[in-house]
Amino acid sequence: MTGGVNLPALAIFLLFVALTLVITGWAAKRSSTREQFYTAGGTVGGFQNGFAFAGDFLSAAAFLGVAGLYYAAGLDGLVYGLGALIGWPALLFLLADRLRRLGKYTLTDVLQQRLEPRPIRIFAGCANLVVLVFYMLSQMVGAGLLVNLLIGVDFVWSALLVGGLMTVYVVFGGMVATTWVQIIKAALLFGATLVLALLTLSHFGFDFEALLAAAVDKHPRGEAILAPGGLITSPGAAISLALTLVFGPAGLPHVLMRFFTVPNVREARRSACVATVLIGLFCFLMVVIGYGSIALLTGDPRFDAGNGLHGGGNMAALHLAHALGGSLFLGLVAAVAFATILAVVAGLTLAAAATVSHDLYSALRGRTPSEREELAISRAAALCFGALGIALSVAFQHENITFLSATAMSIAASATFPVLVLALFWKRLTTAGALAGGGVGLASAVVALVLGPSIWVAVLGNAEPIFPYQYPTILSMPLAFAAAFVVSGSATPASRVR
Amino acid sequence: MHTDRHDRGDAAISWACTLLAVVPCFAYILALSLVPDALAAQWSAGSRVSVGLVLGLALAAFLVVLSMIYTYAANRRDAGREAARQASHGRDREADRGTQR
Repeated sequence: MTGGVNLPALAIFLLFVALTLVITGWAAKRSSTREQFYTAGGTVGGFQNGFAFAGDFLSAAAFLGVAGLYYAAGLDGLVYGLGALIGWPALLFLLADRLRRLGKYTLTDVLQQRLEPRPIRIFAGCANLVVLVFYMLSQMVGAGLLVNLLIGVDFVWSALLVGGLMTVYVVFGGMVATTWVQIIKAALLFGATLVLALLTLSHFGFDFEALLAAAVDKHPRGEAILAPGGLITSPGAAISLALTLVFGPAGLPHVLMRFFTVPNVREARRSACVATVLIGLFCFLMVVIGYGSIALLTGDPRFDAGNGLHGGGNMAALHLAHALGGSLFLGLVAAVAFATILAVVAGLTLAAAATVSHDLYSALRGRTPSEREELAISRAAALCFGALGIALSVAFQHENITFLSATAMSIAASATFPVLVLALFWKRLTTAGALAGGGVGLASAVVALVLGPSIWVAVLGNAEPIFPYQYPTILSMPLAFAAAFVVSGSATPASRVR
Repeated sequence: MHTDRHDRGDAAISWACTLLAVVPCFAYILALSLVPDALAAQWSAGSRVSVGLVLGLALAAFLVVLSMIYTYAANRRDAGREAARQASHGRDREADRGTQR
C-alpha cells in the first residue's frame, strides 16, 4: 500500500487516462476558434456545467484531507467539509447573473466593462496568476505524494506525469476537453463516495447512531470527537476563516471562467445550483465516511500504526475503501482521487493560459492579437504553466498543502473578490480605486501570511507569530474595500465617466 | 427605465439571499469558538448525535434548499420577462404592418 504497486489502482487509473485522452482527441477538432478554446463555444448545458463546477471545486483535499481531518479530530472535519459548500451561495446569488451577462472569456472582460481596460487587465492578470500558481502548487504537491503512496513512483516522475497530462488536455482540447474531464471526474468521485458511504452504513445496519457509538468507543478522545476540537481558537480566527471560505471561491479565476461556458443566464444559475446540490450531498457523505473511518480503522493493525494511520492521516478514505471493499475497491477509490487532482489542475492550467493570452499579452503589448495568434499564445502559455507547475511542485514538495491552498483562497478573497463585487454593484468605483483596492488587498494578504503562524512560526522557526491568525482575510479584505472606497471617493466626477 | 427598475429589484433579492445564506455560516463558525460546550451537548437524551453535528448538517441542507428555491424563482421570473418581451415585440410588428397597409 505504501510504496508498492497497487495493480487495480494502476489499471483503473490507466483506463481513466485513456478515456480522457480519447476525449481530448475528439475535443481538439472542436477547439479551433478562440471561443471554442476558452469557453467551449458557450454550448455546455447547465446540468453538465454544474458537474464540471463541482469537479473543478472538489479537489483531493476535499476528499482525502477532510476524511483525514474527521479521523484525527471528529467534528472539525465537518467545518472544512462545509467550507467547500458555503462559498457557493455568494457565487450563485451575487455573481452568476452578472458574470454571464457581462463576461466573454475571462474575469477581466467583466471588469473592463466599467474600468480602463489596460491597467485593469494587467492588475487582474497578475492577481489571477498568483492565485492560480498557489492553488496549482497545492494540487501538484498532493498528486505527487498520492502517486508515490499508491504506485511507488518517485515524486519527480509523478509530478511529470500529472503536469504532462494536464498540459495535453489543455493544449489540445481546450475548454471542451477540460469540461468533459471534470464531468467524468465528478461523476466518478460522487459514485465512489456514495458507494463508500453506503458500504460503511451497511456495516452498521444502516444505523447512524450505531456508527457514531462505535466511533466514540474506538477513538482515544471518546465523546470529544462529536464536539468542536480546538481548530478555531478565537472569534478573530473564526471570522477570518469564515471570510476566506465564504468569499474566497468568488475570486477564483478557474471557477468564475466556467460561467462563460453556458449559453445564457438561466443556465449559469442552474449550473451553480447543481454544483451546490452536489457539494452539499458530498458534505453529508463525508460525515459517514469520516466517522466510519474512525469506527472501522482505529485499532486495526492493517491500517492503524498505533500513532496514526499507515501513510498518514490523509489515507483514511483509502484505507476505509480497502477495509470495506478489498484491493479492487481501494484501486477504484485511489484512481478516482488521482483523477480528481488531474481534473482540477487541468482547469487551473486553462485559466492561466487564458489569463496570459487574453488579458496580459494584449495589455502589455498594447495591441489585440489575431485569433490565430492568441490561440498559439494560449497553448504556449499552457505549456509554460505546466512546466512551471512541475518545477515548483518539486521545489515545494515538503511544504504544507493546506497552507498553499489557503494562501490562494485568501488572496482571491482579498484581491479579486472586492474589485469584482464593487465593479458589479458600486457605480462610483474608478479604475484607480479598483487598482488601489486590489493592490492593497493582495499586498496585505501576502504580508500577513508571511507574518502569520504558517510561515513566521512553522517555516521561519520563530516562537510567536506577529499576525495572530492563519488566514489573513480578516485584515486584508476590509483593507481592500477601504482602499477602493477612499480612492474612488476622492476622484473627480470627470474621472469617473466611462 | 423599466430595465433599471428590474436590475435594482434583482440586485436587492441577490443581496437579501446572500445575507440569508452568509449570516448562518458566520454564526455557526463563530459558535465553534465562542460556545463549543453548547455544540458538544447531546441533541436528545440518550442520543450520540451532538448539537454541533446536527446544526452543521442543517446548515448544509439549508444552503442547498435556498439555492434551489432562488434558482427556480429567478429562472421562472426571467422566462416570464422573456415571454412578455416577445409578446410585446409581436404586438409592435403587428402594429407596424397595420400602419404600412
